[in-house]
Amino acid sequence: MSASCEQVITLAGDLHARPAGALAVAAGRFTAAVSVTAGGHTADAKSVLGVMGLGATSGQHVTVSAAGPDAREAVAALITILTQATKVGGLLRTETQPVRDVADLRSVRRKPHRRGSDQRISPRRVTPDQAT
Amino acid sequence: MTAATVGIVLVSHSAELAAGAAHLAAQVSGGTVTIIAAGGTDDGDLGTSAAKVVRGLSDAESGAGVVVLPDLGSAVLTVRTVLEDHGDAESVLLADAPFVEGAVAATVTAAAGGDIKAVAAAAEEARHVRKL
Repeated sequence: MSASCEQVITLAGDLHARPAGALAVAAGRFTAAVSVTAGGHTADAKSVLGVMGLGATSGQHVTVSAAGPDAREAVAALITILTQATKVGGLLRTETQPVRDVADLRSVRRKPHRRGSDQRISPRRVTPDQAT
Repeated sequence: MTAATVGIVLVSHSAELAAGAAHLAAQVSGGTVTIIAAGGTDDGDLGTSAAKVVRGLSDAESGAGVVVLPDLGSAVLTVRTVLEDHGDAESVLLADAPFVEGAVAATVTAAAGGDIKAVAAAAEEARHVRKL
């Protein structure tokens, strides 16, 4: 029951990181292969870095294409996200849970730099094996 | 899609870098994935902490496994040491990826419901995605 589907939209705003993330998260939930084309370049819609790499801007035409069993649903979902997320103020900030850090507050407070711990960066300890 | 999502642990020499990358990844992915920042030494200096990695692995695990991203070579040594002592090869994968791009790509794939192998692969594929 494979199908293919395609739809074009004109962006209301730039395709920045958050809308690209929303697009890729949504695309990843479909079985269909989904791609996004803008400015002559095509990216896998499931790759957030690929979508961001398109550098698609306000007013540009973006084509969403899908092939697979849920292609139609995938294109509809992604067009909705592109419509909403690129509106001015549409997805400026996502409500996210606070970032959790294993450090407690004492350990992230700035301290005077000291020498001597095995775990600290120290030029003399950088061997070819450790250097990146 | 109510199954557990893969957790992410970001191991950096800098607490600020780990926390910043975690914040960015959370914003881009919509905030549904547990991302733990394990940066800096136990007393807040530049370096890595096995104790923070151990706690990070525990905090990030919600039943679907954990993908760990190290920033530089000696962070890899710290993570490997921890995995040798505490590791379960099936539930923890160490990803060889650019730190920021890998964190964002891995988190987006986890948010879309990807399994631990898909999440680690998304991180590692980040090195092949051009941003210009």
